[in-house]
Formats: sequence, structure tokens, C-alpha cells
Amino acid sequence: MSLIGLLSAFFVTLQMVVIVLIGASLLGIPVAWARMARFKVIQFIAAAFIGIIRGIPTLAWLFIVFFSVTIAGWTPGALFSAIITLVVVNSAYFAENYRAGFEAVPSGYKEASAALGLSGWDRTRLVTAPLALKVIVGSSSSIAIQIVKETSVASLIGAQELTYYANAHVAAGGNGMFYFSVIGVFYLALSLVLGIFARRNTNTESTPATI
Amino acid sequence: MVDSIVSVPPELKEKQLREPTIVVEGLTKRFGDTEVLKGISFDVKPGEVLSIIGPSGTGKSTVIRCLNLLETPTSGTVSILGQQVSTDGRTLLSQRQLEKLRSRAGMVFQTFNVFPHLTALENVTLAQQHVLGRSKSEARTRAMSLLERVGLGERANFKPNQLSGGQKQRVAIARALALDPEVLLLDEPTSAIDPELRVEVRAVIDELAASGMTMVLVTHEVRYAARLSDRMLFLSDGVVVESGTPDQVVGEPQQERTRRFLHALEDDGV
Ligand SMILES: Nc1ncnc2c1ncn2[C@@H]1O[C@H](COP(=O)(O)OP(=O)(O)OP(=O)(O)O)[C@@H](O)[C@H]1O
Ligand SMILES: [Mg+2]
Repeated sequence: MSLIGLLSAFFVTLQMVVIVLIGASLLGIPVAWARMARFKVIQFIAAAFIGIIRGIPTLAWLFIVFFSVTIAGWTPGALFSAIITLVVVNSAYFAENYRAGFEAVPSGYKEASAALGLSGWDRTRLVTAPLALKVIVGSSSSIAIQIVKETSVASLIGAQELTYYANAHVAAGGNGMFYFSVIGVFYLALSLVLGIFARRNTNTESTPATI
Repeated sequence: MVDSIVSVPPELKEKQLREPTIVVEGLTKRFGDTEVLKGISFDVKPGEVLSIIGPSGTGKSTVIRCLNLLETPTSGTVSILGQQVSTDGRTLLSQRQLEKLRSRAGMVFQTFNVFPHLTALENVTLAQQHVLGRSKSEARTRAMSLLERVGLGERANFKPNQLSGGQKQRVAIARALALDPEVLLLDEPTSAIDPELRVEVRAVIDELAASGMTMVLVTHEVRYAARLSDRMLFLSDGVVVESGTPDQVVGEPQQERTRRFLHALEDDGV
């Protein structure tokens, strides 16, 4: 077991987690916006997107994306394909989370901001979004942890992250129990860090509980 | 009057004397298949306090919410502050005009709805800055003087979860007053507050009435309303059953329905 190999595999995983977290949480914003749009057509398209994405396993999406770009003659590499797939798939999960957060804001606050004469954008920016955010940060930690775990499927198309590293060593005759336990510790550490970060940023005290 | 919470410019006062602040004619509202309001008419003159009383679920909140178009009327006309805002289910205002109108008609809710992520002070400055475009320091000065007026000067930097119900409601009143509204709509402002703490909110409302603020007050506290109001409206099942001065409506009700309602309240000791 080479420490360098393990660390570089961990670095690939970490890189995927960071890029996918940022990419998916950002892409989730327009998707959520579309899902809550006034126009029914836009709403429907967003709902269909979210439904289709979430109705098919991430692993299947990974292969769909990987093979379709390959057939299209484009060879972006396994890591890139995996990142794109995970960004798009998780944007749907984030979008639903954002929507749930906005809907969790009691209507009384929305009405109070409307009654003051604030414009639609100001109501969202100054009242609804900050209140929704408190709910969203907490519930997004489960998506973040899901992302950490999902990066492992990228090994199946050849992205050289932690699971690929363990698989490769076991295939070469290494002790499976040992290698997968080692990478398990790394995954666990990542999940714990993200969980703690989310909890730090959730202020349950001022989470809207009606009155 | 020099020291009153609201100052109405004299030219405005003169204009107001000529036309009622609110005119509602044949207002109906339906939610799906249920017609909640079945043709309501009333008006409110400048400087007048009108109370709306009536049993639960008869549409009192719906009436008051139709005035600033938090609900869109199904039919009838609503005019407020010299503008016809809705007729036969059509809103006659652009989005901007509606926002402007709402800033001129303050609203106080039963559940306070003080923004929980902001301090008392920030609650009162928010719309001053973003609706009226006042500078931060101007908004703060105004907010502090209002918070002091409602007895919360020392709590300016408290978050709502550190305030009692009565205190939150006083912040909400200060928030509405900060925009210098020409009329105040109050939907059961004391119902969700412990009885001992209602006194402090009532004191603020009393002072507003004394200073000449035009108000529409929905309430269950009939005795309090009778003392405060110039006129009262008894609403039941979506129609105005009786209206007039407090002496008429509470003192000598003409309708059997009104008498039954008042008797039921007396039995409850309200
Ligand atoms: N958004 C809505 N959708 C459907 N029905 C509604 C809606 N808002 C109010 N209603 C119904 O309209 C009726 C009148 O409601 P409203 O809140 O105006 O009554 P109220 O006189 O204010 O009652 P309370 O004294 O309990 O506050 C009720 O039966 C209520 O269920
Ligand atoms: Mg009500």
C-alpha cells in the first residue's frame, strides 16, 4: 500500500466533492426558480427534469452520460464525465431542497412583507430567502453526504478516486477488508466534516416556527 | 398633537375631509365554491375608527385583507385613499401602484409576523429604506423614536424570539407606522397576546386613535371596540348584519342575530 497513491486518490475524491457541491448547489438555484415560476410551462419543465433525474439511479446516469459523450465522439475523460453527471443529478436534489425551504417559510412573513409595500424581489431577497436559507442549510447536509458517497460510482467508469484505488489493490491480490476499511475512514471523515459545517450554520433558534 | 406619532400634512388633511378614506361597495369573495363575503358595503371617513366584530369564520379577516389586496375581491368595488383599487374581480393597479398603496395603508396582523431574522430595530427600518428610500441613518432615527413611543426603546436590538407577544406586536405596529401610513388596518391585534399584556398594545392603539389615525380594527373584544370606535360593523355569515355607532350596535342592537352574538360574549365574560 503506497501512501502517495492513497492520498492522491483521496485528493481526487475531495476534488470531486468540492466541485460537485459547488456546481450542483449553484445549478440548483435556476432549477428551483423554474420549479417555482409563475408560468406553468416553465414549472412543468422543471418538475419533469427533477422527476426524471431523481427517478433513475445515479449509476445509470453516469453510464448514460459517459456513453453518450463517447458516442458523440467527445472523450472528456472519466473524471470529467463523473463530475458533470453528479453536478446535474444533484442539482435536482438541491432544487427540491430549495423549494421545500421556501415553502417552509410561514405565509405570515411573506404577507407582512407584501403589506409593507416591498417589491417582489425585495420580499424574496430581504425576507423569504434569509428565512428559507436557515432551513435549506440544515437539510442540504444530507445531499452533501450523499454526494460524498456517490463519488464512489465514478470508479466504475475509471475515475481514479478512493473506491477505484481500493478496487485496484484488491484486484491485484490485496486484502479487501483492509483496503475498503481504509477508504471507508476517509469517506466518513469527509461526511463528518460536512455534517459539522451544516450544523454550525443552522441556527435552530431563529428557524421560523410561526409566531 | 405636536408630539403625536403620526403627523398628517395640513393640505392632505383638507383633501381627506372631502372624501372617505375607504369605500367598499358590494364586496364579495369566494374561495373555490364557498362564498365567504356576500356583498359587503361600508365606508371609513378620515380620522375615523371603524371596528368589525362578528363570530369566528364569518369573513372579518377576509374583508380587511381585501382592502390592501392581500386577497383579490371576487366582485364589488374597493376604493382606498382616493384610488379605486379593485372592481368586479379586476385589480386596477399596476404592481408598482399596488406596492405604493400598501405602503400608505399599514397592516397589523394577529400573529404579529415580525421578521424573526431581524432585530426589532431592523424590522422597523427595513421598509423605510427599501420602500421609501430613506437613508439608513434617517430610518434608524425614525425607528428609534417609534420604538421609544411604543415603550421598546431598550429592546431595539433584541431579536423577536427574545420578546413577549405584546412586545412583538408593538414592534409590528412601529414597523407599520414607520412608513407614515394614512390608514391602519388591524386584524385582531391583541387576540394572540396574554390578557395581562394586551393592555400595553391597547395603549398604543388608543394613542393612535386619539392622534387622529384612520383605522379599521377587527376584534373579538367588543367592549374595547365599543369604547374606541366611532362606528362598528357586525358581520355574520358574510353579510353586514348591523352597523352604526357603538351605542347603536352594542347598546341597542336591532337585529336578533346581533343580540345573540352579544349575549354569547357576555356569557363568556368578554
Ligand atoms: N385562503 C383561503 N382559502 C380557502 N378558504 C379560506 C381562505 N381564507 C379564509 N377562508 C375561509 O373563509 C372563511 C372566513 O375566513 P376569515 O378568516 O375571513 O374569518 P374571520 O371572521 O376572520 O374568522 P376569525 O374570527 O376566526 O379570525 C372561513 O370559513 C375560512 O375557512
Ligand atoms: Mg380573522
